[in-house]
Amino acid sequence: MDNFSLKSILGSPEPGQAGGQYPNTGPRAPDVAPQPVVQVLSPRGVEYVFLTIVLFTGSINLIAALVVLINGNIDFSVLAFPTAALLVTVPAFAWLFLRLKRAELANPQLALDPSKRRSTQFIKVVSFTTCLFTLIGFLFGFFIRIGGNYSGSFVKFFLDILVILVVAGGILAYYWVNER
Amino acid sequence: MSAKRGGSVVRNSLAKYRLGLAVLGLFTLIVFAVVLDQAGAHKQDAKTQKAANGIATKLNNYVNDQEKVPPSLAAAGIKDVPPSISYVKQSADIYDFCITYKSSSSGSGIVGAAQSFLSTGSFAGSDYSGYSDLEINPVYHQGKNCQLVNTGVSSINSSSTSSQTQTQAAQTPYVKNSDGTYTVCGVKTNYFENEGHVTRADTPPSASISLNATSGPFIGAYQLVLVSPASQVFDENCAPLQPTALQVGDTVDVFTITSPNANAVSILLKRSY
Repeated sequence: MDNFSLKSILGSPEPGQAGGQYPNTGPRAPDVAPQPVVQVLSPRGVEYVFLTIVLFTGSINLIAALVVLINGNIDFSVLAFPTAALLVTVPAFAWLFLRLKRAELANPQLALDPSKRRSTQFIKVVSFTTCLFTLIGFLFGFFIRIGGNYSGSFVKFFLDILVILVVAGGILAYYWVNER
Repeated sequence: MSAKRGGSVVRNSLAKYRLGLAVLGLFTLIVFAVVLDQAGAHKQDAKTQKAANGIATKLNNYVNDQEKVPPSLAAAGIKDVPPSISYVKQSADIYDFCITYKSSSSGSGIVGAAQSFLSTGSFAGSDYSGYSDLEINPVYHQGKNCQLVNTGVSSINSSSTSSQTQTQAAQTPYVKNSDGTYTVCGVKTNYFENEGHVTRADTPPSASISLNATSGPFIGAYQLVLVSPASQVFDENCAPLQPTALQVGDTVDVFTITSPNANAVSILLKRSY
């Protein structure tokens, strides 16, 4: 079938001809490629963004719940929100993660999907930053402790730091290994 | 055939992830069970506090109208008192009002400490007294929360109603515990300090309270305005004194009070300048 377009029906106006609204600029230079002005995620890319949101929400509340439990505070008002968040995010994360993992195993090219890589790179940057500042905070707390200005339980403080490092570091390690 | 093998490979590859997610799900269920368990206690405490607020309003109105402390809540026309609330008339002016909570209004963490500080100006517990009206503190700790209310309706103690009681923690053998209470002479008390002012001093059975007003920012003698029955007095070295060594109205500098039997000790002090 022939190409069907308005140009093929109406034809192009000649230079200087009535109806020619634009000056003839001649043929397009071969080195000028079309630049996309609208960037959209791939269908799988949208699912990766969903996974990223669920992962961050779940991780933050997992850390919150663990820190609360480490500090021996099993109070209803303190635990209610993290629990609600975990009850929603853990099943949602499990479903999205397994669905995307299955798709990656079936189609290894999906690992190179730009939308997917954008999400995973963002996750890596955030988890790396979290680990970095957590370690800084730990050393700062340690210095405060040896300076005699920290009266709380250092074991609890250490366990709090450990929880953050395990969760954020685990996410960073997974995506670090997964993309190499 | 190859499709079947591919499906098996995918399943095997996902098995480790399924295991990790199952552990995460199990943890979530455990936390959920804890929250459900705490919710029952929280609901019960909310009911208790609502009842306590109603009782406090009626009790304050009764004392203001009748100018006397009722012998019991029933005598003040207050019915349907939950078992978690107790009322004991200590003297013509003073009564003890206790509420037992199943859980803490705020935990021991940063949030709880901040809430406690914003509400009471203290990181310690919620026991306080010395006011002429009963006020239900929205911040409370698990267990018994008591207030010793000095209404000042009779002439004996009328001078004590205008000022909040205050005294200084003991210099005698005592250790301030992390929860704000004190261990005196090796016995843990329910003695709380609130910004340097003793707002409540009471002990469990056979425990002690030591007070010292000879040094620190609150140097001065204190007038004892209440000692609960069956209390015993010790000196600053924990040596026992005669029970009659300290009487209501005495001006004191250093002393220790202990309960020799099943009765808790309650005292109320007014600083005398």
